[in-house]
Order: sequence, then C-alpha cells, then structure tokens
Amino acid sequence: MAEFLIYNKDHWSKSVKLTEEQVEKFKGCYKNGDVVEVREDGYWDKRGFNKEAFRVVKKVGLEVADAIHYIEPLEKITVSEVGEEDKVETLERRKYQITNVVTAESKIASVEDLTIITKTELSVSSIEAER
Amino acid sequence: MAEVLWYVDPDATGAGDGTSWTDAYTSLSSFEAAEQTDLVTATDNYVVNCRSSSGTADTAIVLIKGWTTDPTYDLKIIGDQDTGIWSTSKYRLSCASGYRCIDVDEATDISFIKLQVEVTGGDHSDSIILSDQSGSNVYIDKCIIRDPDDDAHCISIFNGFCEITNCVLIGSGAFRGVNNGTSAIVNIYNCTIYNTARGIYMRNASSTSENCAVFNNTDDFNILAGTVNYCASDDGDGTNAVTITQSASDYAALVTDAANGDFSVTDASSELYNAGTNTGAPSDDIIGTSRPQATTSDIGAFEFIVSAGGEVIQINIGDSFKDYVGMQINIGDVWKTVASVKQNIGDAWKIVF
Repeated sequence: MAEFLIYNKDHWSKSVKLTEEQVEKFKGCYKNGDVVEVREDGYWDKRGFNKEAFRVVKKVGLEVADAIHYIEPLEKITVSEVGEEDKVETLERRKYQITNVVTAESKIASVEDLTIITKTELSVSSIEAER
Repeated sequence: MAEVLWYVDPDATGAGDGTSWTDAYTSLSSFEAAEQTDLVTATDNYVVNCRSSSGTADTAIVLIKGWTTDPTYDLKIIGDQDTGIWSTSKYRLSCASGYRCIDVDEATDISFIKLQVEVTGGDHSDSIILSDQSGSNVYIDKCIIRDPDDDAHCISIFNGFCEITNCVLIGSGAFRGVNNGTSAIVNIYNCTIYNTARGIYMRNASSTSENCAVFNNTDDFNILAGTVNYCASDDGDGTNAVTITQSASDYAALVTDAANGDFSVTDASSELYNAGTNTGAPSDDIIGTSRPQATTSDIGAFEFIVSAGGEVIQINIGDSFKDYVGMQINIGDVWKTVASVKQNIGDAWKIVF
C-alpha cells in the first residue's frame, strides 16, 4: 500500500497581488492536490506531518514502485544543438493531482480509488488563461 | 529582519511542522513545499538545519520553486557533515529514483552548506542541478556530492551565478564533477574532484576554477571557456598549475585515502600542501580549519594542519637539499635547525624544523 503526502492549501502567491512577471514565475507552483511525496505503507503512521499544509491518503493495493511517478513534474523539453544540454522547462511542479482528498486533518484516509488528474501542457495553458 | 530556524530530521517522530528537532520535518522536500513564502516582503532569512538522528537518509527529491528571495533575504540549507568524509550517520540526501536530487528551478538566492548528496539511480542525471535560476545567487559550501552508480553529474549549472567552495565531488568514472553551461557563471574554489569522466567542464568565459585538486578523472579539466588557476591535476591544466606526479595507485602521498573518500592532505610532503593562492581562497576548509595554515592555502577542500612541535616554511634554497639538514635558519629572530627536507614543489623546497 502506498501513502501519498498531498499538498492541501493554496500557494502563498494566490493571496497577494502579483505583477505579470510574478504570475509567470509562480504559475508552475504547487497546486492543491499535487502529490508531494510517495511513501511505503506505514511511513506516516510513525511520523508527523504538517497538517496545515498536507493531507495523507493511503491507496489500497498500490505499490510504491507503481506510484512513484506521481511526483514527476510536468516538463517541456526543447532539444538543443549538438554539444549543448537540452532545455528543460518545468511547467508544473507536479504532473498529477489527486482530487478526492476530503479528510479530517488529523486522520490518514485509506481509499480504494484515487481520482487523479493528469496535467498536460494544454491544461496548463488553460489555467494561465483563467488567471 | 528575522532569522527563522527550521529543522529537518528523517528520524523525527514529532508533529512534523519543522519548528524544533523534536517536531522536525522528515524530509527537506516537505519543508520546501510547506514553507514557501516571500522572504523579501517578510524581511526574513530562513535557516534550515538538517540531521539524521538515527542515520536514516532523506530520499525525497527536492525541487526549489515558488519562493521570493534576494541576496539579503535568502534561504540556507545546512547539513551536519563535519569530517569531509561521506558518513551514513549524518544527514544525506540519497535519491534512488528520478533524475536529480536537488533542483533549483527558478531564481532563488540559496546556500547549501555541509550537505551530503547523491543520486543512486536514474540515467544521465544530476545530484544538484541549477536548471533555471538566472538572476540569483547560489552558494554550495562544504558539501560532499557523489555519484556512486555512474548515473549522474555531481553539479550542473545552466544559468545564473553559482559559487562552489570547499566541496568534495566523487564520481564513478563517468559523467562530470562540475558541469558548467554556457549561460552560467561558476566560480569554484578549493574543491576536490575525483574519478569522473570530466572533472570540471567549463563553458563560460567568466567562470573560474582556483585552488582545486582534480585528479583520477578521464579528463581533469575540459575548458571550452573560463579560467583555471593554481589548480592541481594529473594533466597539469591551467596557469600556475601543479602537476600531480603520483599515479592512481599511489595517491596516498597526495591525500589520506582517496579510494575510501578521505581527501585530507596526507602531510606537508603532499603536492597539494601550501601550493595554492590566498587570493579568492575561502577563509576555512571543509571541516572548518582556517586558511592558510602555512603561507599560502593548500589546494583542494582540506587545509593541512602541521602537527604540534613542527613548523614548515617554504624557501628557495638551491638545487640540492641533503646538505641543509642541520643547518641553522633565522626566522623572526629565532634560530631554527633544519631537521629534514621534503620534496621540491614548484621550485620551492619544503623544509621541516
């Protein structure tokens, strides 16, 4: 069983007036529901976590090895000329959002199914347009 | 302005909100996610103290993104390594999946101090990568960064400014120690880089490498642009170069135990001893020994301390040394007797009283 540490608040930049430059800078920051860490079963039973920032959910029957990709960022890779490194732009800190994290702050919820949204470059553009 | 202290300990079992060692965050990643803020508006400095009270590694990848900082109000991540030798009883970021351990992904003024960082999996990855931090300053001091599985560059910097001091970078025969992109200015002082494909790969004309010991690499310095000064290497690269004459099987005369990651200067006979320049050298070494101990800084991350009762000077004295044992030399109105003469380094005889 894998355990997910899930970002469960709004990024600080959403509560202040931002310049256009700052909007651009912070558009890829953590969003409510982003998977911050994936841990093995029981990890958070033995440890505390910041309950103002996170929630923890357990997914029954899911191994960490099969879930670790949920912490991947959404990136845009531009292939560079020979001899140069490819340009990697992080569009979103996390590619995946878990949206069914309705749980009391002090409890670790065990769920049968996760509702997961996979972000794409297209969906990020939509988020930008909404701002 | 306030200095705000935070705590990270993978073995902590308290509340996990980072406000004390008892209630420490259990990963640097969770601290970074939970505490992102505008340090400039708050006029705060965040100092993040990291330890592993029972030796558990921090295995979560850290992506730095979402802060507002400047050179005055910045972020300092401080580990607890204090020997200059990799230790599993000290805090260490050891990332077994993904392709980086620490990624500074946007302009953030941040320092990494006394950390141990390694990537143990992945393919063509980086232990520390500064992928998009143009316009900010990153400092890496007194860190041990290694690639035990031939998978990663130790440090890659693609833009902005980065200063790397007193670090030990250890590869496994492949990849790069410092990978300097064309848009990044990187100054590297008093680092030791060992067993990579390219020890320092430098591609910016404003970048500098000084007082660095870079050896047992396929190519110690691969310099397309930039300056190498007072560095020691097998290849004798740069200006004021020190060419390391020991072979891979005999680095014991240079450093204490290279094969096991102890790069402290062996003794006053080492070719690294008293061979650097004081210009630009950090005021202390990877374990806090002040520089210089003799007249000029040693090359590499460690500064050698001459044992009590001994005193070592550099003096040009001629072509033959055997006759000088027993000779009296006046130093600061004190006559001293030459006890032995060490080897010739850069035309400077080292004499022990």
